[in-house]
Amino acid sequence: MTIGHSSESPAATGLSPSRSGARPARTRKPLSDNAYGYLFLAPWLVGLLVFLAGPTLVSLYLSFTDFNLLQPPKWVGAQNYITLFSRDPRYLQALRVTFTYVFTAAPLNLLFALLLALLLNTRIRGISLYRAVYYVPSLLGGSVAIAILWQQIFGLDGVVSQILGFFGVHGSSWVSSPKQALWTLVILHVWQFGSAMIIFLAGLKQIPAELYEAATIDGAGKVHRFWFITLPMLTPVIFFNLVLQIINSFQAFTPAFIISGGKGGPLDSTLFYTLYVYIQGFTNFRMGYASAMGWILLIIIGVFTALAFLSSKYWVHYDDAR
Amino acid sequence: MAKQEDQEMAGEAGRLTRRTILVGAGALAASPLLSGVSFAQDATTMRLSWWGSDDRHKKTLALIQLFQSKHPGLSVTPEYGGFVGYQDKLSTEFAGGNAPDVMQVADPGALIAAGRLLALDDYIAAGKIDVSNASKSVLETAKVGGKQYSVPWGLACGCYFLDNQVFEDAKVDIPDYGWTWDEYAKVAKSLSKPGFYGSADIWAAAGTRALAGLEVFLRERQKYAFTPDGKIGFGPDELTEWFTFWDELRKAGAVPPGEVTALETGFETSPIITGKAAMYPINSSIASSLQGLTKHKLTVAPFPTGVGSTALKGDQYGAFVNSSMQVYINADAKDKDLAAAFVNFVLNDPDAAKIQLMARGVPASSKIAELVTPDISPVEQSMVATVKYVADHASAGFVPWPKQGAEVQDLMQRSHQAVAFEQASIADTVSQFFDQAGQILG
Repeated sequence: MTIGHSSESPAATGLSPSRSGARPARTRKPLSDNAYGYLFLAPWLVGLLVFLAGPTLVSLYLSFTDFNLLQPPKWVGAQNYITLFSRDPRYLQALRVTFTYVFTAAPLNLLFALLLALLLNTRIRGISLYRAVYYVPSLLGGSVAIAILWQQIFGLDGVVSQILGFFGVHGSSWVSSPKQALWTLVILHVWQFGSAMIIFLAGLKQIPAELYEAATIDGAGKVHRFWFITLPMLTPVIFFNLVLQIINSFQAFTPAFIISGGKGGPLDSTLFYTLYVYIQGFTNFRMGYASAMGWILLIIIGVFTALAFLSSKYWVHYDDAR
Repeated sequence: MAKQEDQEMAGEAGRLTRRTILVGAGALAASPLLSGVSFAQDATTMRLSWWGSDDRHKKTLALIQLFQSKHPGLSVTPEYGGFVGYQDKLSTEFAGGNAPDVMQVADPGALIAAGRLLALDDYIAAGKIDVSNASKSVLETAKVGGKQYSVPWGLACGCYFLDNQVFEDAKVDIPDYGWTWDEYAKVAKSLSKPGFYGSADIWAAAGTRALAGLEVFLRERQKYAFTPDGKIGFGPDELTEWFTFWDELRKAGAVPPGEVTALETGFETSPIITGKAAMYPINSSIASSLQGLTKHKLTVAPFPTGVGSTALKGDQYGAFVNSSMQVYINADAKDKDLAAAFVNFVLNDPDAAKIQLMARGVPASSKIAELVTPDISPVEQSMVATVKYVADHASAGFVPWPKQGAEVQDLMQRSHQAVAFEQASIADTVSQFFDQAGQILG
């Protein structure tokens, strides 16, 4: 059904401006300018309405229903939301896993990206090669191959347990132990610091050299220059990266799906929020319930993003704000 | 009807109006967004979907070639992949009204309840699908509400694969088909050494065997996994006994600890393949694929049976034969007669059987099974003998699962993990299982 709409709407939208153009006498200039603007926006607007806004609103409705994908939804009021918080221990586990992940993986990733950006912000021979090399992991990051590689590295006879064994720590298999599995995914995320690093690098390039020169003349050492020039000047970029990181890591899905075979195991230790939404929606046919979960996630991400924006007043320095 | 539409379309195309061009342009603009959606509208295409391993993919593709050569002008679109995620994709296709015409279904309960799969009774009555040589008891288990929605695309039973090399090296005899659970435990212990386990555990991180062994164990106690009205068919006593049996083997080092078992993401990474265990419980239909992954000779044994050291027969015999997978037809299939012809083809055509061999387990038609048995590999011979032994001994029928059966199976898998990783005591795990199973089954 969606197919029918989507194939005809661009054409329909394309028609209206040409009709208004047929009556030039009544069309004032700014209006026709706008019409052409909307005409050029049309492909994107239609995409937004049909593929984003539409499904989003439908999912809000579905979150108040019992819907198994195959039969018409049945209205159940707030029942899904009540069940989530009162009768579903796996949902609480999914929240626990996701919050642990966001509050460790996101800051560690930023820290790593910043450190590497500082190291790579030098003028030495072949620097662009180094930058490319450190960026590569985030290109591979979300892929199936990397998740499988991780299984090999942190598996029973994997590199990590062999190295630890050499030092007398006879560990087990990290990926398949409920105590450590989540941490291997945190490490996987931290390893993908590339895109944040590139943005930091760009930010570092923007800092005027005069500031460093002036500070050096005043006798500031490397540490002082970092704390009083680099870091404050970089705060807008840090803020930007932080917001992206929060949103991305709340939505983590692929690594857990691949490494745990789609189940969030062992023992629900990698049951990410989005993975549980997927399991309930597509494996257990509870799309209404999954929609309710989706909306709570939207609110959670909204709140944390808002908090980041509110706090930015106190720690983000914009050049023009002084 | 389809033809008439074609003609109308052709008439439209003859008159190029501004409207048709605009609509066409719109459709073109939207088409990249719809990749993966089949626009095939004529009656000479059919979509076939299945899960499996490389061996099964190759044989099924050859099967399609043969079917196409018997139906000139027909083009069959194959859609295949691994087991993980298969059912999720299929359910989504059904929800979107874009499901294949003929397919394997892993978890048909919800689809049947929603009327999305075709009841085959009329086609069977009309002789379009011939089931006269298929196993009656297995056909019976595939019935839902008295209607036949599928035919078995191969027969199988729960079984243990045995690594003969390990048995030989340890000078332990290959067990008889009639072995008991006590004998199984003894063999597992005698094959174990540090870092090597006599047997794989009864659960795995992925896959679908968390209930298979328990089902056998329950039948020996005249219980079932589910009752015919869709409730849990056993009590805390049986489950406690079951968990305790495995817990003792785990503590004795005869089956691996949790983090080794949790590494298995499919039979490709099972402990019998990674060289960690000598016995491996799973469905018998994967015999040739499993043998392809190891140089060690494998043989097949039925699930152990008997209570303690007492062997059982007749009604109390626990193991049972079921269909390894079934073939279903979409209730909205474009050409239902053609789909039925395909089902009949895979079930009864001797040339098809020569191609399929044991790719989906033992052929459901006894006539066909006899025909191809000389052509098959030693491990498959062993599988056929095991399935035959179980079929000859089992007399109690299989109670079909309710539509939330797979969800209960996942719960059982997590319960096994809770015990294996020592996150909860057996008593707590058992009571939580019944709590949550009650919620799932409503």
